[in-house]
Amino acid sequence: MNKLGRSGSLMTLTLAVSVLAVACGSTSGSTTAGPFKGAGLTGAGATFPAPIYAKWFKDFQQVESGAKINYQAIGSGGGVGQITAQTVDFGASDAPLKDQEISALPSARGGILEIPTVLGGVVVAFNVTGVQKSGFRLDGPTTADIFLGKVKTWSDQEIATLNPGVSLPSTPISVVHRSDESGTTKVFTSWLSAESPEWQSKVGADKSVQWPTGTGADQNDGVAANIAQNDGSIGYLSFDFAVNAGLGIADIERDSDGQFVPPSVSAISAAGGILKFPISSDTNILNSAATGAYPISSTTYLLIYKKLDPLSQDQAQTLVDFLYWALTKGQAEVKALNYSQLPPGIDQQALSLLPQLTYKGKVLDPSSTVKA
Amino acid sequence: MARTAIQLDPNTGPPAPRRRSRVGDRVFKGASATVAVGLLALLALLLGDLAVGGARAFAKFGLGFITGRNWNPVFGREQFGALPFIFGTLVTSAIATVLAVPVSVGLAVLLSEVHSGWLRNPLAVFVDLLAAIPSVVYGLWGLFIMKPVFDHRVEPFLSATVGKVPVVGALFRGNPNGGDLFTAGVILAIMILPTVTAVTREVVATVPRELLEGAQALGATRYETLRMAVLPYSRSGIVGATMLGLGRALGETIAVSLVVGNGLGIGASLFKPGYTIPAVIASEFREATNVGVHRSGLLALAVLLVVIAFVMAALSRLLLRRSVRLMGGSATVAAERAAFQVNG
Repeated sequence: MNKLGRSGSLMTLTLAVSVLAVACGSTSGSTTAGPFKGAGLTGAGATFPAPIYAKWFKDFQQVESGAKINYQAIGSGGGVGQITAQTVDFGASDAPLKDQEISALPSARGGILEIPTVLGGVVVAFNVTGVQKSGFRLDGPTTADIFLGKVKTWSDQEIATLNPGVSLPSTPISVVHRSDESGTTKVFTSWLSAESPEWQSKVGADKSVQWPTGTGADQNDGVAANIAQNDGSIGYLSFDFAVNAGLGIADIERDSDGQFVPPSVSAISAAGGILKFPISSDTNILNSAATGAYPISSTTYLLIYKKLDPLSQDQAQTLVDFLYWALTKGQAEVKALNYSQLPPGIDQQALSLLPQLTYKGKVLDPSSTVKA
Repeated sequence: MARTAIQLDPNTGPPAPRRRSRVGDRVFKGASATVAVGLLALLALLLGDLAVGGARAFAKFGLGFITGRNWNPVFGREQFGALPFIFGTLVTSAIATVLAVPVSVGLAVLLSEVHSGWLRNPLAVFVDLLAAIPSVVYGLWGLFIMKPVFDHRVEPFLSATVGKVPVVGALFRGNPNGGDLFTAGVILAIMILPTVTAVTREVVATVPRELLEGAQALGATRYETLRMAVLPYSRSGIVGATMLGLGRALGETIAVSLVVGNGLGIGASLFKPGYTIPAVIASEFREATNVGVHRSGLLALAVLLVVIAFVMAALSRLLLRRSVRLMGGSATVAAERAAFQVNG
């Protein structure tokens, strides 16, 4: 009885204190002007950057507490569709907009800004008994021949020439590719098309293609599982996923100097050095000649209308603030999730795009909260 | 009957509740009619939408959409032919049916006729539980546990034994590594097993006692009773149950997609990757845009799947109806009732 009573009074005390705290908080908020709180936004699009975007949105709320940003990872195609229909405040895509997609945009919004946010890479992953998990070398034409089904065994002359001194088993090659439509496939097949005229003419490049050989698996996990299960398998994975998959990862030949480059966060970041602004439909960073670059690298973009007028002023301000923050402080968080940050210089160029965003005819400066 | 009698006699019931019940009846009738018509309208709308969406693909490729073997979604070289998907859908469903039906019938007979001991209830519950497992769980289990066993043990074994037999052997040759039609068919067999078993059990349970006792009185053994009384009586019901299972197998998406290999092959070997209509729709729909005819092609595939499913449903109806005439009804009514339960 006594015990109960005491805990009851304790509860009253806590309650009183917390009410007091809330009261104090609200007074200080309303009397002083205070920092900009931000407003809610919605976006939709690419799945590849979804994990880093989720982290960014969460951390950005520490900066502007009202900035609840809802992002739906429905795929790049969906993102483009939603921003074209103006059902979201921003879109996201792994590929720059095609010319047809740009001409389908509503003209009243003054065109669209495509802002690169993070970089990623595609790796060639394999599982063959007798071959080391690192240091195995491939170049573009050989990789294309493997995925065309022309190179059928691991001991094939084409592979052997690239890997002198490595004893290769005669295991047959099983090709694994993505069955779902994916930006990863688009990047990989674009690279193969650039490397092999035969691939370019027979297969081509897109988010999904008609594969000449192999089995299709769902998502990165499916491809990784299929590779891991069968000796002699080879496939491609998104770098951020491959890091933890425990499979063999090939070094890829860089065309500019003939070096074999293992994929890494820094090598992918370096590849971004060749980005040119403004982004156009044929922008890509494949086979980047930049120093230290990994050949199969790609960017992902946020898509924002230049005229932010249909948004509220607070929303427009929040969007500008977020973009500024993502291209500055946000870049430091990228590595922790195995994405690669924009290389120095490119991030500055991306930042210099922001003044193209206007609200009711006026350029919005980033708030002091994000500049600090 | 009793209700009619009451209404005929004005002295037995107070008029007020009767009037209220008539209003209630009318409201209920109206409400259910609205819902029923609404449902039909919804179905028509869905079909119409699919057809309109798929029209561009049908118009562009014509009959070639059904007979074509290429499915090339690359922008600028688009070419869509559904034959590999139709083939894969029918083959995996056929494997599933061939494997599941004998087991299901055996199980159903065991559960309702033969075994009345300790095994019966746990087994029945277990089979029903199989139906409650979400298909993605089957898919993951298939991908991570069943597929490796099939790749490394079952398929090489079949290839080395049955594969040597002429004609039939052609089904079991080829590289067993990676997802293929056979693995997908086996997963589907496990998935449709509870459906077919449940319906078959209902059917077998309606075999009249007189028939069983008659057979036994004539000196038939248990097996003979089964073969001469139970199975002939429930044959049509079992066919109906099979059709239901087939219907489920045709539409299964995610589990198949994870193990079927998702390749465009058409050939004799079951150890080659295949692709099914639901799997390709699920794989490609999210990113397919209207810039080309890709999305339209997928919608046209959906129309084809609906047509195939309708044909199967119509066939099962026909078979069930035929058995009404043959059996005087009871078995079939039970089968139809069970069918509705399973579908619901």
